[in-house]
Amino acid sequence: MENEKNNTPLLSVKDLKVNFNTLSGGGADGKAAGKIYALNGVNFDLYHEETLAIVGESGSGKSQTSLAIMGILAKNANVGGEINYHGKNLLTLSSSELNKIRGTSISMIFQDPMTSLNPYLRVSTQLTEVLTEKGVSEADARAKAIEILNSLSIPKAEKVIDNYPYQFSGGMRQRIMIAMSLMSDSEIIIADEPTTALDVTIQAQILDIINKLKTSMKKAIIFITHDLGVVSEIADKIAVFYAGEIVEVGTRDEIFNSPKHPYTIGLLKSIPRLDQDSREKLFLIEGNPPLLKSEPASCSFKDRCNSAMAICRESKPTRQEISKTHAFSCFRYDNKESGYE
Amino acid sequence: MVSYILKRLLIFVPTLFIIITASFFLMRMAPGSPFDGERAISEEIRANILKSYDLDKPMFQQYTNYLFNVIRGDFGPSLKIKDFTVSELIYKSAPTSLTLGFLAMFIAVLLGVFLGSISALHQNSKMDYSIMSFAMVGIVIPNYAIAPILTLIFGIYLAILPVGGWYGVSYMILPTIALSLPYIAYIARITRGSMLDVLSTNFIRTAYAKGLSERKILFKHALKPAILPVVSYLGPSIAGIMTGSVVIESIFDIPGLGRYFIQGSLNRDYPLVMGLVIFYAFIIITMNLIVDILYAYLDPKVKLDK
Repeated sequence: MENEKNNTPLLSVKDLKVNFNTLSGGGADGKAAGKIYALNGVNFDLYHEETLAIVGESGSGKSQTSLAIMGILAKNANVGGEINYHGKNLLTLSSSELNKIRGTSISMIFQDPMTSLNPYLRVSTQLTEVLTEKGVSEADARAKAIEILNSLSIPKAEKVIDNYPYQFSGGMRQRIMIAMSLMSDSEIIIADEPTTALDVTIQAQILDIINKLKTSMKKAIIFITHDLGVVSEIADKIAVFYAGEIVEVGTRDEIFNSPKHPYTIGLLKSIPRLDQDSREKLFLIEGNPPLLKSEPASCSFKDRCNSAMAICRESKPTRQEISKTHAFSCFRYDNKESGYE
Repeated sequence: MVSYILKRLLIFVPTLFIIITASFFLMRMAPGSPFDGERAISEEIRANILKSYDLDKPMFQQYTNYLFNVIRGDFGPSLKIKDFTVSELIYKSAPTSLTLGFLAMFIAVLLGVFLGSISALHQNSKMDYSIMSFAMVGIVIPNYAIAPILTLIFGIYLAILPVGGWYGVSYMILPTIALSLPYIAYIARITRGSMLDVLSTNFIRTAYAKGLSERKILFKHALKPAILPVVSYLGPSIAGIMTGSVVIESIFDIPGLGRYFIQGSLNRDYPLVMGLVIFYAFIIITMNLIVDILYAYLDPKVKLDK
């Protein structure tokens, strides 16, 4: 049983594609109606009790991946591929079937706690409705909510639970968001940049809490961030997103110690270091990510890549696995006899 | 809360004082007098009449007398409608006007919010476009133009509804529609806009991620913030419906306050017009107070006791 639990993925995302119909800007002339290709074949597996960090810059598709899993993409989105969870493809479920899963088995912590809580409803209402919707009594749900708030060190939980969100600070609100995701013992928690909107000391506290979810509550976590410092603290596995694709995936050690994709290498180089000479310029990946007006037919990183070759402009690199856990998509190592650097 | 309401009630006094003063002198500045008729009357009789109503006293004394009487609750006699005091006339006709006004207000909010929400939920659909075109028509055409058209269609051609009078429910339908139509339209537009804003907020996304049903998200999470702008608009719209009903009442021959307002103004029936102005002002100020309390109830961030 234990073995099976560890060998079959809990959540399996296969060739996930998302594009958006737009009224303008997507066409070749920049005006006519067209599509924006946000995700172009994303594959990853999430195992029990594993923390997968999704990293990448803004617009790389990190958040869209999580929204696709939750079934809350914008209305103009077209989705393809599979998201398999307990033998069901979440993408084919009706919204009422999805409602049995989201909030119950898969929960989400959003990026901005200042706007992600309903300002017009009491915190108690917003917490308990996760359970009362599923038929739990109001009193039981409330007791559970208070218990969770206490465990997240919210002072005087039984009192402040009836306050409105505006009466809490940002850090407290993020704790409430986290509490919301814990109301129904979800197996998977998706945290979409949960620390981005918070200041550094609060960030550390929230990360502590998320670490606890991982170690003592045994949750599987998808942690979305652009902060590699945070990733190094929390992740078991890291998926690097670029232009709607995963360009490299591996364990934390594999990504930090032997990155393969030029983008990953660039990202790691651009982390400021305390022991660095302060007069030295910080490393920077030149240019901007492409606007995805069509499905990329070649490498989407070619224009910003230091080691781009002719082939990078002609065809798309395929996924190469160098260990059971480590894979990347790049032509760079193809013709090198010496193998991987 | 209670102290806030008391404070607001205290502000009633200076507000009404200003309204009374302004309308008193405006009325008197208008040319003509209550006793100018087709037939010339002798100077002697005229002086007698003026004397009997104290209209021969200096203007300022008339004003202070009037203020004093109003404080005692006495609006004086009507100068033209014999044997009736202004209070009696208001008492007799106010229920009709208030019924019409509140009915129109109620319909406007109910239908407006409903249509606006439907439009927002089906944004850019045929339904949305039809509702919004209807709303545009409703806003653009004034109610004194809509009223005769409605009368013509439903009262004359189809002959299914009475065209005037006030004797039962069927008599209320056309005036209520004519009076509320622009407000239905306006409220629908406001609701659509705010509902669209609310539906695209992060907290609605959170509600979906929690696995709540669409209905629950709409009624529990979205409706309250979406109708707040409508509530803000209630204040001015109540004033608009009140004054609008003056016109509608005279078109549909409804025995309400509006008829007396128009007659009183044309006849320079000073006490009658003054009494009605005070009564309307009182209703509008009270309704605005209720709206403010309602707003504070809906929006937890608004604190009344500050």
